[in-house]
Amino acid sequence: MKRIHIITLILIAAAIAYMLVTMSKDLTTYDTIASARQKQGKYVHLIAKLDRTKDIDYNPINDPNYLAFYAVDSLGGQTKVVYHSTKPPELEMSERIVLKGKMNGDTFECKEILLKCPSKYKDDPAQREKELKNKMQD
Amino acid sequence: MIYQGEHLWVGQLGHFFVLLSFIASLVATFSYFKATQAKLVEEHNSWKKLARISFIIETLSVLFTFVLLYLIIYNHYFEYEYARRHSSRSLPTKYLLSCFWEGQEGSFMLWNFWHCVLGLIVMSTAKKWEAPVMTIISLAQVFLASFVVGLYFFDVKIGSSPFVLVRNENPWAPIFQDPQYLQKYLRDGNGLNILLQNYWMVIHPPVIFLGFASTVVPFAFAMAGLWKKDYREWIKAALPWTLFSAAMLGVGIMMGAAWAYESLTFGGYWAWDPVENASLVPWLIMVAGVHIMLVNKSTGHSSKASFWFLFLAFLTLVYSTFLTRTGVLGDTSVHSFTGEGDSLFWHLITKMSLFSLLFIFLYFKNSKHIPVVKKEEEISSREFWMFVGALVFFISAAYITFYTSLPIVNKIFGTNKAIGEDPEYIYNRVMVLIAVIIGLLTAITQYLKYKGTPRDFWMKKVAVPTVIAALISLAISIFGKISYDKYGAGYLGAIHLALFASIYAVVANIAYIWSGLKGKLKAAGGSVAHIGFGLVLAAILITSSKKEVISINRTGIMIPGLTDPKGRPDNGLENITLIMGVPAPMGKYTVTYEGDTTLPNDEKLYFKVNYVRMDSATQKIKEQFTLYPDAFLVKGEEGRTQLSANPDSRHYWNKDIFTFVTSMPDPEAAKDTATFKNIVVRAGDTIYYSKGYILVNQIIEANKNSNKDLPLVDSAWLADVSVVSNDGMSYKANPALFAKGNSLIPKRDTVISQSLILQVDKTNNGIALGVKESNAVMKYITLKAFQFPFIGLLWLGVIIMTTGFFISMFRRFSAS
Repeated sequence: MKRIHIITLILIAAAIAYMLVTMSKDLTTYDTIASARQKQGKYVHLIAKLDRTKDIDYNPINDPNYLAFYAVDSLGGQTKVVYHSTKPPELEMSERIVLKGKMNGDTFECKEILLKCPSKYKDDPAQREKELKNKMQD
Repeated sequence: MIYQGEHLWVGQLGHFFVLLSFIASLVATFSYFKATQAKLVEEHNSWKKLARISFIIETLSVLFTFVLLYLIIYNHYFEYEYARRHSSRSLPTKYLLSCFWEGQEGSFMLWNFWHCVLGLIVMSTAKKWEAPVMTIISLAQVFLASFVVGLYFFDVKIGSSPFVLVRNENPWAPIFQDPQYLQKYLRDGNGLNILLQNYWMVIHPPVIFLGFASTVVPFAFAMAGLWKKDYREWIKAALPWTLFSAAMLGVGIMMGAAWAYESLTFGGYWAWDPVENASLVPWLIMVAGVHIMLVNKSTGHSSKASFWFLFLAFLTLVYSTFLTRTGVLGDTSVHSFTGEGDSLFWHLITKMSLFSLLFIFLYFKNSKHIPVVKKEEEISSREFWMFVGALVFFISAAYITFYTSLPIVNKIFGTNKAIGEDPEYIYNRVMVLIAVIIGLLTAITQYLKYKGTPRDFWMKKVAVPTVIAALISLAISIFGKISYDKYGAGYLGAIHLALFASIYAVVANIAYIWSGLKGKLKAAGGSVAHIGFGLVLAAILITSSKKEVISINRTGIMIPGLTDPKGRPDNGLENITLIMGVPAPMGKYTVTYEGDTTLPNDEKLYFKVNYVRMDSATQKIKEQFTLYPDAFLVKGEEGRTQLSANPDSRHYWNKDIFTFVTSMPDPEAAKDTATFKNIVVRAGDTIYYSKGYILVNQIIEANKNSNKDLPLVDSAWLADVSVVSNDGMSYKANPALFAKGNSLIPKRDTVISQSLILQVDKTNNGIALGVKESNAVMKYITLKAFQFPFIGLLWLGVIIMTTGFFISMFRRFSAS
């Protein structure tokens, strides 16, 4: 075997070893609200919906970096969510929310919010149908 | 039923050309294949003639479909799904092209178009390589053409056509009961996504798709080399194309970064988003491929690796389309597209598998015959370190691909893993090490000779640039205040090391042009590209580690328990609220939100934010400027208004002050119920309000006959008033009323601190002053502001790097 082949193998092996070692720390899981409650303080991704029956608490004049709302998931779990930044403008219209953060007691301390909104997905067939149906009423 | 006002001929022609392009690409593939296999010259020539004709027909068809689709968009033919979904009447003409490539079909057509153009160039320049190379290009063309055919084979839909009618796609919709549906209900389209209403979005897609399309050419040459059993000659012909592809991909990616920086609000130019990663990976592999090919051309080493790198560059590019277009990324990306879903999913899987199988088959059929140099590469040789560099690029590409592909891994293995708490750090901590290695290799390898370098010679040449680079980077490290300690000393050390490596790359390559190439710029393409690359690395390191949030909220609210990944308290409170007219301290600046304005023919709302920096000792203004971050206000469901903000920056030679609005009160919700009280006034009158009185200084009346300064309106009435509050403060206000034709346009004026809105009205008894006391006048915005040092260096580096690629390309092209 040539020197260059040995170096290739060593570098690739080192890369794989590095990834195996760091992976358990770098990766997290998608969780439900119930399973996230079990993993207090562990960083997880929640897939949930905005609970529209409850108020959204955001008052930028008092504190632009405090947003609180309630989220529910498809398994019936419910949690309060606190996010220390501004309210994403599309929050109210979101269909689904991916919340990244940690469960802390009964509140979910959120570090990042990803919104899935119908408006972003003009290509979504269901949304298109709904829109055409409404055309008659305009 | 006969529908009125439809323009069916455009779509019918479109369908015809789409089909023609598909069939022509099939014929071209087959004929080029026969031409390649032909033993006799006449046979070869006659097949080649047929193939060329088919390819030209294909190109013309693509051009026609392009023109027809543009006609549909330009003329607002909303009976077509594409126009209805992606454009609207109010859209400025300059963005109509963006509509073209907002949709999946249009962007595939763009890809198709470049593919044809590149094919024509290969056709006319590749000489003996034409037939085999064009076979592969035409075969890729078959796939591109089929993405837009929109045909059903039995129950399977192949591709999706841009020429479908709304009524054929949704025959159940009640509006199609009416023959005048187009006039009554489909008068306007949905419009272009507001994020794409930006000039970068007019030019970024054509460039990046040219980059995408170009990856097939080097790959096709590699395949041709295997096919014709000419395992080395192809490199020479393919090299300019590989350089071109790397250049275009690089420019395209960085234009995307510039767009993100200028119009997105994640506060930067790069976010390790899957869409960005997916296009970075083919670039990394393509650049590695360039170096491997150079090694092979000069020494004969790395003969097998050349094939693999070009194959992988092409494969990862198709894979990137697969990741970003089929919706497989699902919840991981902000801008993953949904859409055609299943049909495109299998379409792309087929494309990747077919080309992989073809390559693997041809490669292993030939691998025994590919000449391999028995002698080992010397450690002091240039080829040895170039190979190591290419390998490091490859590893970084593999690392990025793994984390970007997590959703695919989940699908295959049924897991539910997601990237953890700090995705940027997961990428950055590896990339900073890659930058150290690549920077050092870029610096020293040019000074090595192929096949081996005498030690003294190398030491002598490399000594001066090493010392200079060390001095410069030490100076930056010491005086540059790079103290990014969020992730501890180790990471900070790596940043300083990488900074040295990238400066070393710049200095060493500048020196090499002078000492190694004796200033011959024509031959210096490589060195120029390296200088640019080094600058890009240095700029990335500096901008990222010295990016500073200046809108840190210092209202004294601490959030207990919120910590960063290293367990220190997080000061992530990056938004500040500005009440209109009230100056607030922010970093070194005092910032005031002074109001908002709109421009004619522009849907955006511009917020006027004034920055002032005072000298603390003398109280003199040292720096003052106004930024206009803007936002689209989109009417959403339930009458709510949502905000889609764009940043604005103040550019200095050494930094940008970058500001964007993160929220504002909903103008609908803030509508107040108080009404105007109109009082007829004359100059000298006094009107009282709850907190003081208003003095009418004068009433000015003007019309366009008496005053030439009124070009836009017919006449105007202006009230000049002073508001004097009970606490003794006095404010000036100038409400006015304009008349144009039969309509009256009031120009209101507000005194924020008094919650007072004033207007002028015309009554039968004379001019009246309208006074409204409101509790809703308090307007505010929350904003975020960053300071980006040396962002200009990044763009400069990209330009230099691209220039280098092109210098090399032209030299290699005239050599081949």
